[in-house]
Amino acid sequence: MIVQDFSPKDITALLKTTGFKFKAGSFSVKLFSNIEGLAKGIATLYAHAEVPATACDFTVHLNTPFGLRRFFRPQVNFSLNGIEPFTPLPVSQALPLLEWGMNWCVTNHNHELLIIHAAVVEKNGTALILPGSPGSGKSTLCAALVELGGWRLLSDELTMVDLQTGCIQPNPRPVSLKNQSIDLAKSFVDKARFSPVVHDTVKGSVAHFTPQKNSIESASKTAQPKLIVYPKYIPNTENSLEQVSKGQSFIQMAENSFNYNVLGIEGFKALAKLHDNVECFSFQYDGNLEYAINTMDSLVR
Amino acid sequence: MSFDGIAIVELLRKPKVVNTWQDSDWEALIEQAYHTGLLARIYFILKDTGLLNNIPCYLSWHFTSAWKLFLAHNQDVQSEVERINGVLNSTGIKPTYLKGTAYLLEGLTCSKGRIFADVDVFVHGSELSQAENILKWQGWTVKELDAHDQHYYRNWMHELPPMVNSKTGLTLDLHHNLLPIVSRVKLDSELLLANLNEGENSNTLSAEDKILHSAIHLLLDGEFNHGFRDLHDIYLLIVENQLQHEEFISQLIARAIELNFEFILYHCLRLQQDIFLLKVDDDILNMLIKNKFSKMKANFIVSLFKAVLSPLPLKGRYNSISLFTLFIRSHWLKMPLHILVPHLVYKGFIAPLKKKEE
Repeated sequence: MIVQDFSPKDITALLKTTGFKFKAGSFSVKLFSNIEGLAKGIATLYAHAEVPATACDFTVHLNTPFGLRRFFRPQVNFSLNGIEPFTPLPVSQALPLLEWGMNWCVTNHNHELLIIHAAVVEKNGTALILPGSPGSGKSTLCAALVELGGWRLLSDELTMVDLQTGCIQPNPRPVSLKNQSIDLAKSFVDKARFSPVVHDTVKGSVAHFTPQKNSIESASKTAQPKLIVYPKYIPNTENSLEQVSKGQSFIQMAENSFNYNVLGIEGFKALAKLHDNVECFSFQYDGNLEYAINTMDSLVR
Repeated sequence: MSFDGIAIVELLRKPKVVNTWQDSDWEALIEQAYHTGLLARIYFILKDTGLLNNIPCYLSWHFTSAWKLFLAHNQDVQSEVERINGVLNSTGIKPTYLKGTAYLLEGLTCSKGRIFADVDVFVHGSELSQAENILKWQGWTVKELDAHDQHYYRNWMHELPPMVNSKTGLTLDLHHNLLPIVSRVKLDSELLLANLNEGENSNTLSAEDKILHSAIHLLLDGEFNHGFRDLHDIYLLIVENQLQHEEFISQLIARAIELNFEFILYHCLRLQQDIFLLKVDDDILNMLIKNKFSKMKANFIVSLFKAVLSPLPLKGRYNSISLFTLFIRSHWLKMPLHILVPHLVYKGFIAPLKKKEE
């Protein structure tokens, strides 16, 4: 069974009673919620996700807290097994909060993988890692590569490196876009795949779109990392692709990792092994996505 | 409420129960283990009893990851203790470590998989200002507090405002007493200091005192975020000591009588009986009550504690009522009215106004 087999009405009923189970990337969630309209968002963003019959990883509650406030300025609270890591947000931000919360669940609790804040995509068996600070155009580039360039989405936020094999474990979850990049992505991704735009979040305006079916279906197919490209979007700049030293990249990846400090020597070894097998580049681009896709393609040819 | 049939309780009572478990039992266990912070301890217990293979493969990462987090934490605390010892020993102070740090230094079973936020250090009242100054010189910093909060910590409570090691980010609580100074429940620190487990550079409390100290905080603090774990710490401490001396419970009771903590130990042992099925003879238990307090009142208080110490993430309405009652009770026991009322007025009305002005 997949999420699409359930109507939003079925999902709502489950959210309010026994919980609705679905696969979010490589992890399964059992979600409870009393928020109207959340079911529709889940039906859109997780349409092709499996509804597992086995035990789930995270039991999550997304509810409006009790109290008078729910009548005039309702809020939403995220809880993992009764632990509430965030301050409540306005109820309109329920869907983004679920996405952020799910990232927190994984990065705070899984130390069997080295987890790096970076997008990762795959073509011809080669995984390309795209680390990037906010505003670097990482998510837009990732969206263009998977929607226009024929790459497979492994993850747009969390690059998960298997500590034993060094392979990337996919975690295909909805792609997150911010501010101007939302309209840009809507020019090449079917609008029906988008969740509604939510304004005034801590990250500005936010929207997500659901990954392609094949990316979800091949979620268990790992990929060998061979490229790390540090993108940097600068309007009206000259496009350039330059080699970055492995030492410099090692330090950047360690800084961008969520659990490098927990893993200690194991994390060091995993990053070292990763850098034994990759070539590293910095890529400055002016927003011309066709050019960007051609450049990335040329690296795996 | 009954604790029978709750996955985590069943496992802690008798680990072999996992032999009969389905996936849904593991799902419930993981939920409860996250909630109570016991994932890493359960990993240790299953490993110790040779039952690790029972965990369904696709769920085992929860347990192994929690164990890795514990190992990293363990290393951080060990080096922090060395740093603190270095600083304090240099001025001739030999610190006494409390709670989690003490369990870890002694390598006790209850330290395996136990992650905690603060290193608790106890020094003699006469050494307090010296200890505080040298730690500040060596890079520990204190959040700025207003005059009320300074007074609260230094004159009413039993510890200084938390100090943070600016290099490692770990928090240190420097204690000059084990219970609030103004508390109705009195504890003479000198009696504990006369009975320490002496180490080379630092000390810990004796086996009996460690248990009593943990029980005092569990049952008097009025806050139960880690309550279920702390209760299980005490269970493990008792069982580990019983393996060494059969008569341990009698010694523990004698010590509680000596320190005037009969009612706390009584409530605590009743909870151990009901939740983890610890065997305690009624005769022994009755030595703690004698004619000092009514059994009916004790039953009521035990039932309140059982409600708030439940390991289930979703608690019923009875839980919030119990929580509120115990919160009031703990403040009542810790602070006399002439201090409690002005404190609550300040915290409720004056502090929020001050914040607004800023």
